[in-house]
Amino acid sequence: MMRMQEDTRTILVRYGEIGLKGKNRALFENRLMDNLRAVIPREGIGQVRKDRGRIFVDPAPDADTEGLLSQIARTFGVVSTSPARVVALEEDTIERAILSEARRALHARPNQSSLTFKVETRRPNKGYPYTSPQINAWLGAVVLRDLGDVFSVDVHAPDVLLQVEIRNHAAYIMGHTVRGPGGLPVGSSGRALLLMSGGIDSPVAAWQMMKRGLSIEAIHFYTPPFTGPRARRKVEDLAAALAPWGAGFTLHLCHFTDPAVTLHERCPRRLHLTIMRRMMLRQASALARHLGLGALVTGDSLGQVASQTLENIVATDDASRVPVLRPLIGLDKEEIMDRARVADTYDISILPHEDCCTVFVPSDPKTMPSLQQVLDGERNLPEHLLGETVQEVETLVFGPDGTMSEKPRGES
Amino acid sequence: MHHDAYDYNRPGLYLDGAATARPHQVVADTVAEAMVDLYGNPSSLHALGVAAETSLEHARKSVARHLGVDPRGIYFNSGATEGNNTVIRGVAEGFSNRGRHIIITGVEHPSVYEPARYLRRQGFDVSVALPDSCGYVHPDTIATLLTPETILVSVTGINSDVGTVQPLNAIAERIAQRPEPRPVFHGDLVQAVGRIPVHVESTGLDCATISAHKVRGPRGVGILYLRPGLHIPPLLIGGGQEHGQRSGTENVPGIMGTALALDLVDKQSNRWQSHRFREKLGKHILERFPRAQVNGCAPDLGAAQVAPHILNVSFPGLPGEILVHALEERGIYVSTGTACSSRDRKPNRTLEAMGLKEEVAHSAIRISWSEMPDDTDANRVLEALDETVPMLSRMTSGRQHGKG
Repeated sequence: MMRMQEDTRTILVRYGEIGLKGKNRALFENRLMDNLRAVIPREGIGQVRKDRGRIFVDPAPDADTEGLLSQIARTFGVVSTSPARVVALEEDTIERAILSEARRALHARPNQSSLTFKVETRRPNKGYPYTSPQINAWLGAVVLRDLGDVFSVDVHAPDVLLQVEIRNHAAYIMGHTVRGPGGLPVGSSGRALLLMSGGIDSPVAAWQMMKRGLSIEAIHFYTPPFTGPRARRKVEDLAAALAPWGAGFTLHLCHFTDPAVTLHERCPRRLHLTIMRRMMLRQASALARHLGLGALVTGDSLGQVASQTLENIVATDDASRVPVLRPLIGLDKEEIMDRARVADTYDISILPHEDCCTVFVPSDPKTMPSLQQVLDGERNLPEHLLGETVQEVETLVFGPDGTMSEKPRGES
Repeated sequence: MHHDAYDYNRPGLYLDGAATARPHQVVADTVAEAMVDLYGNPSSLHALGVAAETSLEHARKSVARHLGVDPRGIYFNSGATEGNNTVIRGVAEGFSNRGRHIIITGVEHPSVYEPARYLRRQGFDVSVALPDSCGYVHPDTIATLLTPETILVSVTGINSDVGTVQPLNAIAERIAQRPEPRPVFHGDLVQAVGRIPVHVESTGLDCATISAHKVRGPRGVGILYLRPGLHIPPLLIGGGQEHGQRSGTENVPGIMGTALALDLVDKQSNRWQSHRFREKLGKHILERFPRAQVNGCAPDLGAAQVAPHILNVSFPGLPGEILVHALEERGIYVSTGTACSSRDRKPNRTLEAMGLKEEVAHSAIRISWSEMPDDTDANRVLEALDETVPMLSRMTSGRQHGKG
């Protein structure tokens, strides 16, 4: 007799790289589970648990599984994810579940009248009486028996991959897989401070480093009246767009008009850009050390603009007391733009609002200054712009859903 | 910069009245009350519908009186962008069997310019009458462009960037000298209403367009005037409201607020139309800042040629956008150009058509008002310019303009 009870459902999450990390593995897994709990709205989720190399997200009874799936698929550390039917380790229930998944796959492709498929089994439960190849053959035959008018086998490039995992207390049956971004769970590699302009590159730099497990905060320098309130809003919008990737995002806004004006009045014109970058890195490095962040991140791509020559990079790095990571250094503009589209920051970045660099760039900046020339050029700057004084910043905190979760802590 | 010297608690000084105007409180109250009390649909047969219809027709008569036209020519819509689209695209559609040539000027708002450009892509011949360096379009310039093929002449009453008053009467005379059938003459009166005496019919306009929010009325309400007997196809087709000229349930509360705002313009026209503030501020700016220049016309130019509520001034070398933000820090709100176009970085079309150098056009700011400012306000603007212009000019002098 068939039981007419609805199958239990869960979402199975596969992670690759963090499985390889030996003794740190539990740490990474726990971080990934925390991040998943953060990005999924509370009402959508029952429980997040791990079991033998897999994480399971049990949806709340009325949850929108497709929505959950797409959120999980945007969490760094996730290789892929599948909604799964959880059924008892009984032959008839497993057969019924695989047929349901096959029918579902068929319904999801209303324009196709024939489909190829393949059954793929993993068997962490070694006590189960059949081997994986035996299970593949058995369930493949079941599909052909009941749905043979539509389905035929293709073991190399099937339209539908029916996956079976035989675990200790249940079998998990899946017919639909969404790829995740891979990488490492945000927060598992430490914390760093991004120098964020309103442009295309710096948000992508943040995204790339988040992908390698860094938790990113950002500092933005704004220079009213040379930049307007819309330029600031744009940076806030970028922070909000990055927040779902970073399980939240913190943005520090630094009022930088006085330093910029002082620079303009006291330093050689053709070095303004380099010295401006140095002042920003100095300030960012001071803030990073103050907050306990281990590195700076910038969106530099070698040779893209005048401030991104090797000479200028040497000159700016000299001003930072923490390492400067440049994940985009070897990428072309086109490649960066493609990633910005993936990260959902592109449409915000291309809005035409002036950032302070474009205002202060002289028409003929020096592209190959020596460090000594730059140090000489800074001679007349006052002490507080050369030292490690942390300037006041206004801090905005964005939740994983991109909404600002705290009111400004300080005023600039 | 000396931020500490400025008192941030000072109330703001809104000098962007050509972009939009703060509604009268009594207008807002009237709209709110009508929303609650007069919610009937004017097309409904019952008493609530009749009450709404009565208020609507009352407003129509009141508006017609203000504009000096027959109430049968008044059609309410959503604003001048809709009105300008209706006229330009409608005349093209309705009169294309008579000819395919239209004339606009180089100082029009985008809601005239863009529909004209759209028609050009559709194969119409569009002539643009260029202004002189004051932004003034000479009637003869229009006259020489008129051909037997011309079906529409569209000219703004007052240009919204620099405030030059256009010679609508004289242009109407030139058109009247043409043999029949004459082109339709349209006036975009958005900036003109309230600022100069407007008698649409005696000016010789066949159609006119107005937005209520520019005269301290509600947002989202406009007036389209079509001379009775002039029929152009509607933009929106549906329930046949406004005699089929503009379908969609009538915005009775907004229309009542519009009529009231125009009434208040009539009552306060002496103050609205005073040139004193413009002259004083313009002269003082030119005295204090030798490199500054007033765009459009000299500040003391007579009322016949320049609007009383717009002063466009350039501080060459200093990008207007930066000065706008610097004044904003001091609670003074002005703009760089027509608000709708100031977000993209293309040079202002009017200033370009006037032949201003790029450096001058890029440094223009527009000071405009919908409530008459006083001497204290003028001093506040001058003080803020004193604090900002010299320092900002030094900062930006080495920069390439028009970049970024």
